[in-house]
Amino acid sequence: MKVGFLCVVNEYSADPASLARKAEELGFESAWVPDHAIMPVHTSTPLPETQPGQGQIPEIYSHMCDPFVAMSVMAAVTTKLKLGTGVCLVPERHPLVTANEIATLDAFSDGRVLFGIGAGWLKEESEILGGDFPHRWSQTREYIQAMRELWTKDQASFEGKYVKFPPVRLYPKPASQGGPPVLIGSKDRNALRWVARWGDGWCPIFYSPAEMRTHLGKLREECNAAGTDFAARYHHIQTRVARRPESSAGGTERV
Amino acid sequence: MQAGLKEYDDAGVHRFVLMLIGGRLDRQSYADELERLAALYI
Repeated sequence: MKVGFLCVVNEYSADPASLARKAEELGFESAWVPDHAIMPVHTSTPLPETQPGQGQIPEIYSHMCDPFVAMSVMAAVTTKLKLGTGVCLVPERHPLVTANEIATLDAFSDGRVLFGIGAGWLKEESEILGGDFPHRWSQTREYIQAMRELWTKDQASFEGKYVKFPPVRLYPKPASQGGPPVLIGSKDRNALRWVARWGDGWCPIFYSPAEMRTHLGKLREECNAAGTDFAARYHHIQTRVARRPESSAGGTERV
Repeated sequence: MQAGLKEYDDAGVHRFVLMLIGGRLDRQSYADELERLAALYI
């Protein structure tokens, strides 16, 4: 079992270089950085059950650094630690710029990027940053398709609903063949279908072992239906679990 | 592997990510906290 940790890196936390050095020294496999470029002051979107905070958006959501900058710092001081977005809010970033950031980081880190993706849950944030909130997963899928074109072709072009571009060149290419693994961070009822059809793995939040077992059986069925390889996705099946500091003996718990 | 992780492993989960979102990795305590977590989970 590979063990990683996700942490908010900001002006109050330890700096990402120190965190990464220590994590690698201790044997953590991966470090994950969340993504909220901005936080609207006025919101009416209910906080989803998967987010902590008892109905209020926690103050820490307004204090999140850019994940790609933090991951770059982490990559610079380590050699083995994998670097993940937990998760990158894909519709809220320009896909060509994101493709370049990811490719550059993957190239410079020798293929250590894990591209955890989400579509965002906060309508007000999404709309400010260019998300088509009601259709944000369709937008996400299209952005990922465009990024893969850019990562794998000398001259890439794309004609979609949300992104269109004539032949362009984007270098450096990612060190990972085809681009870093795209891990879908969603508990949507369609999430497993997306993983089977266009994802490289699945990174849901707060699932118990029994729930994961059930869902992985369904993922296998979705892969069979889609004609895709369950085994290829199997190595990037993960869950994120919150841990209270007082928990002893390594017990895990759902929140 | 400790019991909680083994349950996930048996279920087919290949990676386990601890979410440390409560500001516990501050400048003063991050090293101790990571050491404590590593002792429990790795």
